[in-house]
Amino acid sequence: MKKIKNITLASLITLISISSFAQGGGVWNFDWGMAFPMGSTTDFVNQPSFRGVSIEGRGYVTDQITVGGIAGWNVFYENNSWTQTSTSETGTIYGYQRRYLNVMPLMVNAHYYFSQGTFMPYIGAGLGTYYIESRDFMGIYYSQGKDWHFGVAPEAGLIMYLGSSSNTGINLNFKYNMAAKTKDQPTYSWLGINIGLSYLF
Amino acid sequence: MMKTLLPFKRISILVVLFSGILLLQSCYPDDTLSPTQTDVVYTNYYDSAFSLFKDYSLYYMPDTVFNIDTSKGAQPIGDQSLILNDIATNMQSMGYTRISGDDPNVTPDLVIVPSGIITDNVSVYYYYPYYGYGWGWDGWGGYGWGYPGYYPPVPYYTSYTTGTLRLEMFNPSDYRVIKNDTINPVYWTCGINGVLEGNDINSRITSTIDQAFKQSPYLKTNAN
Repeated sequence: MKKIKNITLASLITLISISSFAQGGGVWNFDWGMAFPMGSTTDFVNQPSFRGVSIEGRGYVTDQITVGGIAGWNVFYENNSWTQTSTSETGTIYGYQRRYLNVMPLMVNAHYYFSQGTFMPYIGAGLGTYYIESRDFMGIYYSQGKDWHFGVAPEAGLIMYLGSSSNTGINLNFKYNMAAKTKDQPTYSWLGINIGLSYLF
Repeated sequence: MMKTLLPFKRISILVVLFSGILLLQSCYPDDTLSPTQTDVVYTNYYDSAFSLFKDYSLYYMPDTVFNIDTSKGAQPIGDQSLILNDIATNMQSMGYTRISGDDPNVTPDLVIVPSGIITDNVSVYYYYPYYGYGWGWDGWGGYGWGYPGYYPPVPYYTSYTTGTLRLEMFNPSDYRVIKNDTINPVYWTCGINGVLEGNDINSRITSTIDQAFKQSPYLKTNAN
């Protein structure tokens, strides 16, 4: 029930933000994302993720501010090979360990642009949810955690248009992702470096 | 700085491109294992017994690996002497002496009960066919031209056999009577599980038994 509520809320936020594009143009970003685990997340998966994509829409509300929404997906994977680990104070398990994190952000965001034109440096922040599914495999067995996390994602980046009359450009940004602790699941955080194509409309 | 609306077609090409990348890299990449990599060794101990092992010296082990599956036609546990000999070797290197159990005046400090089960596992996966527009099964009893509509998913099966070996240790002198039953608390337990495929099963059995003792250094005795 909680999950349905979260999905509904997230879709509603995304829809509202997309509809605001109608006001006066905006930007579409299609990004490939790398992600580097930070903080306690490195205890679970320490390998950077190069499997990530996101689609983002931003609509101008003033000349220098956009609001929008983003949906994405990152897969973290680490193969720890043969590992011996404690399962409790007295229990020990040994096996071929692989760990996965599937992370899906669904957020509303706002950005401020320092200048307009060919180079558009910006700062911004996203607010919303991360759906995170973690799996810890030992051989053919795994333990799984899944939950919707509240999340914030401050970022700084640059959109660079390919020529002064072009509406196609390259988007590059650095984004700190923080998925808050839930009742059953821990906090996850990572640094995202996203690069992709940007379309002005 | 308003610019012309991007032709939708170009956006859709990009979306397709991105979804393609997603599909190639599924949620769980690199998720194939060799039979050896399915081996898992689990051990646990009774925390009150943790400090007792060091003073023990004699143990008894039956000459059978009991089958947990007592139903008729249960698959027999493979190479029993391989399993029992390897346990005996490990117990010896931990400092224990095996007794035959023939002399009623000699009570062992520990009894090891080895047991096993062989299980056939069947996994069902579903494949959702997509025929697109055109000729195809129309789902209502024949071929025809039209919108594909609903197609039932096609199931496919994979089966694999797993072997589980369980070792349990208890002290026969430590028992409680609960509801007129004599219960021995289990001092040490071990579960070994793996997919029974390939031609190195015997070496996997011995190396996993060795691992079980290796990850339980507290079993070592100083009595001898």
